[in-house]
Amino acid sequence: MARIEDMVIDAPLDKDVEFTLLGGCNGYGESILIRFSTGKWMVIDSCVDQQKRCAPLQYLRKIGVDVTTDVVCVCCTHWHDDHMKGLCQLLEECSSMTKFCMAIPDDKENFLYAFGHIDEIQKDQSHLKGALDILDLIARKNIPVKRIIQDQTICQVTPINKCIALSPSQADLNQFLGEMLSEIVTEERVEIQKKRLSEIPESEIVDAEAVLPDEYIDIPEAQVETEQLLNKKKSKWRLAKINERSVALLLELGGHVVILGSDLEKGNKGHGWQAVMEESECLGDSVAEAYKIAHHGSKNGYCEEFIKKHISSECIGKMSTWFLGDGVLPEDEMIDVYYDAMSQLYITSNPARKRKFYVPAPELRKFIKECTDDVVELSNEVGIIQSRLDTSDPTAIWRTQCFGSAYRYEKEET
Amino acid sequence: MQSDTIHLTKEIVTFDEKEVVKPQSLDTAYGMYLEERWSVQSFAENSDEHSTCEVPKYAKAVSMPKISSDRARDFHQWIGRIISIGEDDFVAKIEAVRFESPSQIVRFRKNKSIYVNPELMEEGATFYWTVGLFPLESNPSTLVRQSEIRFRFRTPIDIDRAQKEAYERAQRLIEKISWLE
Repeated sequence: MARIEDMVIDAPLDKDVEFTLLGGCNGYGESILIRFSTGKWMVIDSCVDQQKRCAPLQYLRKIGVDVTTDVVCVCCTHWHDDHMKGLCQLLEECSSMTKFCMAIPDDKENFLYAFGHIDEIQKDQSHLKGALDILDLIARKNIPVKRIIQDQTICQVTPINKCIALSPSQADLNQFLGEMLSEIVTEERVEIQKKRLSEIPESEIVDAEAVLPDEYIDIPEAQVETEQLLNKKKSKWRLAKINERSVALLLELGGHVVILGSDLEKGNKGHGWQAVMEESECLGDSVAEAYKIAHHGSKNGYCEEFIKKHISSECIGKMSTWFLGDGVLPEDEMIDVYYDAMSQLYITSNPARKRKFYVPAPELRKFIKECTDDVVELSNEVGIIQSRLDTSDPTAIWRTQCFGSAYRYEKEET
Repeated sequence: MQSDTIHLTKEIVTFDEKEVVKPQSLDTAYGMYLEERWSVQSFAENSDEHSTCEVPKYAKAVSMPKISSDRARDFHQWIGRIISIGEDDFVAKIEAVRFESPSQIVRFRKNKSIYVNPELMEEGATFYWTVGLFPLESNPSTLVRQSEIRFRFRTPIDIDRAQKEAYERAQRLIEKISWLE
């Protein structure tokens, strides 16, 4: 099994910009590395290799990057395990990093408080606990934190080398906070709120009717309704919508537009891709030459309207896989949808391999291992899809290469 | 007995005390409300029989038009947290969900509201406040203008075990992290 340090990967040219997608070992996890034409790097999310080492760190070292000086910004798009693994290692090593970027609501205190209760809120979301370890490390190392909000520039190296957030909106983040807090209000918290209320002048408390838009002031009585799930099992919708608050990014690399879809899902009105389409001011008429396909190519992550308007038909599409338990993303059907929409489609690991070969009975795997060391499971490798472009040459095009388990998808002719 | 009038749509629904329904138990009251989507109009003081929460002693049940909340159109929505509950009102901090707006401290008059499950109506409770056009379940093409406050049911947590640690951790992080604007 090839480790990143054993792969043959060249260093970039001096004026190269780079957009590389790493897929974690076993088809789980993703990380994106961005090289600006100044030679500085930005790392978005993190995943690990088979030895549980931070894969983006291994890659950067492999191509000769001094991570202590050349990584200027690290970004976490959302608090899901497949985007956070190895992030602590990365933050420990990148000592010259000027900022860590994440999307949190304006009410930071309550947000952090809610995260402190994460294991109480939703036990099946235990992977979120890793987020607190990251925040603890950030506090300990005194790494400046920048809040990501829609349309905000989160990293700018030169006027034509910058990164802007397409999502989430402030309103969406506020809702996210409310959803979390609704689970964890405690007596102590109430006391704090009451104390704050006592400090608010009466004149600042407005009547509910005054908040209503004009067209609704003729319905003064509020219908107060209880939650219908009173006696049912706790609903799971709250934190399951973390993906809708993912950070999608618009990159300008030496004048070339790249869009990173993170795990953003289409969502309802006001959320996800719909919010990007309707509310983002920075998106404008931008058309991407390269696109990190959202949410591992899932149906939920696909927004046809967005793809048609903002992704060039000559685009390089890259997607990472998501293999967990019996779950496999992307589905074959969606691979073909993206294949038809773009000129080149790359995937970090082969979903068919997972479906057909990676789920064998443990006895079989044990038997193979006892017989020979020569048979390896290729899906265990990290998959690397590397795209570089020489910005010193106006006629240059993206040079894309695959390493490890990554490959270029070609539709089989029937 | 307290008696109010509810404006559900443009119709004004009034009550006749003779038709007052007396719930037999807490469960009945809830059942009426939750299962049948009936609104309980008025209620009396705390019941001796159920000391743990306020129970509507006399309640008038009125059939409400069934609406499909999830399909509201042209709506405005806030998420609110109750800060304090008075005798006739409650004060909450609300934040707009679907549009940019600073948070506000708002007073809701209790006497203009319908019965709220007392277990959910408490300081610190979180609710969604939605005003908008809601399609009738019976006739989706008919929209009714409505204001709705929907409380979220909280899962009880082990306060003693988790609360203090989480709060202290949040405070520590807030103090130590350098936030860039």
